[in-house]
Amino acid sequence: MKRLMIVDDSMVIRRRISRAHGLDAYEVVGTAEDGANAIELARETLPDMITIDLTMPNMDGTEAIPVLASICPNARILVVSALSDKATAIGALASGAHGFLCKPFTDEELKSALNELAED
Amino acid sequence: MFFANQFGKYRAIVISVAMFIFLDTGVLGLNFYISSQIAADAVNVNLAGRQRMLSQKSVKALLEYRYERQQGQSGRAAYEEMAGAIQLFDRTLLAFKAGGETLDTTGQPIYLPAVETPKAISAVDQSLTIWEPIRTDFNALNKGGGDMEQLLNRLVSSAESHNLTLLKLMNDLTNDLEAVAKEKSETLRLIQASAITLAILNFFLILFHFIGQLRQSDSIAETARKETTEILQTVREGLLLLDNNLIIGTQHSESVRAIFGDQEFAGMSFRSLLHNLVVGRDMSTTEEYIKLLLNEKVKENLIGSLNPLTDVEVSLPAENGGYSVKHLSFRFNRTIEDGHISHILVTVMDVTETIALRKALDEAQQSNGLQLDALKNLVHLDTRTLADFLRETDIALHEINDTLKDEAADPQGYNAKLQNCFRIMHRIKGDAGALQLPQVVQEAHQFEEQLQSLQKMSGLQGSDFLPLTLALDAFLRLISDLQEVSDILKQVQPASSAPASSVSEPEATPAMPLPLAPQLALLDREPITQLAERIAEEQSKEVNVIFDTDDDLALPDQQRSLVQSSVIQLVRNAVVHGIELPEIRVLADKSPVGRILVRVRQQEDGLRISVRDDGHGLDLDAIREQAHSNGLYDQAELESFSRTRLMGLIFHPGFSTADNVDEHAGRGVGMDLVRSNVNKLKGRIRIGTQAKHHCEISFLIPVAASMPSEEVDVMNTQSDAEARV
Repeated sequence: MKRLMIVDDSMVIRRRISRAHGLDAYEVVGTAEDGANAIELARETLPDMITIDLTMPNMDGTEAIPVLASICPNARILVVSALSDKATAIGALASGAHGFLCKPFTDEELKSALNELAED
Repeated sequence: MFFANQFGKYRAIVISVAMFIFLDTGVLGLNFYISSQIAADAVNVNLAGRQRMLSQKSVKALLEYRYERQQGQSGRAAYEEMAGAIQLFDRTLLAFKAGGETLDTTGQPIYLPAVETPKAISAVDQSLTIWEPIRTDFNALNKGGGDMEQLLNRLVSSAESHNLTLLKLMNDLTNDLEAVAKEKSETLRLIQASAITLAILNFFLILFHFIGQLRQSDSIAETARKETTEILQTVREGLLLLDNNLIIGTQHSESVRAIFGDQEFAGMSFRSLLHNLVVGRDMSTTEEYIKLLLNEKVKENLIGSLNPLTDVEVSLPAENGGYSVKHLSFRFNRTIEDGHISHILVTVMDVTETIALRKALDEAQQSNGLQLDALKNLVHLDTRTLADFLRETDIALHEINDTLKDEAADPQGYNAKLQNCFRIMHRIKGDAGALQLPQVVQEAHQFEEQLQSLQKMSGLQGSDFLPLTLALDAFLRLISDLQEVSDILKQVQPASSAPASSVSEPEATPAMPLPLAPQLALLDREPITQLAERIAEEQSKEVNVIFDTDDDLALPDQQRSLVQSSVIQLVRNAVVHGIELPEIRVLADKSPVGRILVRVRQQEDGLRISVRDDGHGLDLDAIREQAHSNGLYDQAELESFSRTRLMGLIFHPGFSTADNVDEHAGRGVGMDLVRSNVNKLKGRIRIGTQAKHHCEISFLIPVAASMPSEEVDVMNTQSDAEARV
């Protein structure tokens, strides 16, 4: 069972991910609504997988990802964001994320993205 | 088999090397063995030669000893020399005979094997026969006692008489041993020569074998190279490989020249290639993207959507010397070698024609008033459903047109006209939303806005309606276009099992539940569900629509259409006004996902169709406030209204409690439409609600006799207040 942390300022998206069908192999160990809370939560829960939005209040995903990657060096980080700015998304991935899933997404897309990251 | 599996294409070389080692080891072993024998033979030859010397030395010393004795001297030195020579000769001769130890030329003990050749054996045996009496006399002399002089003389005489024979025999022995050693040396030379010959043969075997193999693999490589070149010259895409420093490799497709001009690409940096084509941030984003692709931790499949160069507009030199604007699309893929990323394959496509085609298509679609999305949705719709919708919309729009044409005598007349138009347009919008026809929704929404701005005007005149007729013309053209597409789709899609509906169906007849075939199911569930989910998504809500209907129930087309349209409005109303935001629902101890139950039941007196949501129920205070602010009733009247009458106000034309006007709510037309539809169906509406718990709106369609629908009566239950409107 992989430990999954969900970071998104939208409750709808957080709930959407945590309730997506077919994610039986993942246990949601926590959800955070911004980067700062995500870092705090990651220290407590040490997740294996993280889904993170880029645009969030307080601390956005781009800032949080390198910190999360240093706290949980083995965690696989999936950026889940709307594709409004490719450069920002690429920058976020370069700072330590491992994959990108574009909003909106289907359960199947989410599942295959997480599974692909979890393969390693 | 094992060999073949283990070494594959290297089998031949492994066998050759193994043979070489085996041969070499064998020859070396033999060489060592024979060399050691030759060395031993040399010692034998040497010692046999020494025997010749010892036979002469012992006679000489014996004569010296006898002379010195005769001179009265002790002759000690001569005696010792004689004794040493005789004893060493004797010991060595015995060793040659049977094998045994003697002393070598340095005085060290050494083992001599017995001689084996017949000649040597004969020489040794004869020598021993001659030597035997000499040894006996010497031993007696050495022992002392008796007549020493006589003994000495006999020894001298014996030694002298056999001296030459003994010398010859030892010579024969030496010669024979030398002959044996020589024979072994020749054998050794033969073995060495053979081994060298075999080794040379093996070498040539390997050489020819590998030359053959090299020629074969060169030929395969050459064929592959030619094929690759052919592919690279033919393929329309520009293909090139980048290493991890983004340097272009030596191979690339010919199209790269066609796209980027005739220049040397091998060794050039990708950045230089894109120089002047992609600038500033786009270039650094591209480089970052490629670096991501080179990062093995990042999943290639999960970053494809981030490719920044899917459509790059560039000015490239044209064949006629000028410049032409092209659209290039770059694709980047990893190439894997030994499980690791070795290069990035860049595929460049000239998509100028595709882009131009897309643009032309967009323009054509816009000029036809059809969006690609709309077309896409049309394809997925049931042709019958679409045709029904378009036919009814056409009729409805003409109804609006007729209404607009009617000269009204007074402002009240104009307002009634507007209200009527509103209701019709709202139904069209609801139906179009359910069918996911965004263009129609948009058109209807704009029309509603125009109607609303007219409603706010005072002193309306007939000319104020002119813009509406223009908008209506555009709307009719759109519907006509859609009808053309629908006709085409009818020919493409398999024919529906349902018969064509009659356009000239008379005024609503009482509902007659019919078996499913050949009629369509009473409710078309999918558009209802899709509409609910779409509105919910737009409003950040979550909703689950559940149908509880009897599939055997069906209605004639016109009634079915009115029921479908009403259910759509009720479900829309439930999502917009009933279901709360997920966070609010959670606070109220409800599931964050709102539940809407659409139920159709056959009762004795007709069909009951109900839509129930588990939202916050009707807010009577809000209804009262809205009715007051809309100027429908004054405060005193409202205070006197019963709970059920208040609830009945939601069906009043123009009534809405929504804060904002948007595509889904706010004009207060939806429920008015439901009432109008139910009236046409000669039905009755009932509302049941419990604050913070649920709201259920249902209507009963009579099976037979029509019932007066304008009557309002009220009934109460313990938990719900219900109103029949």
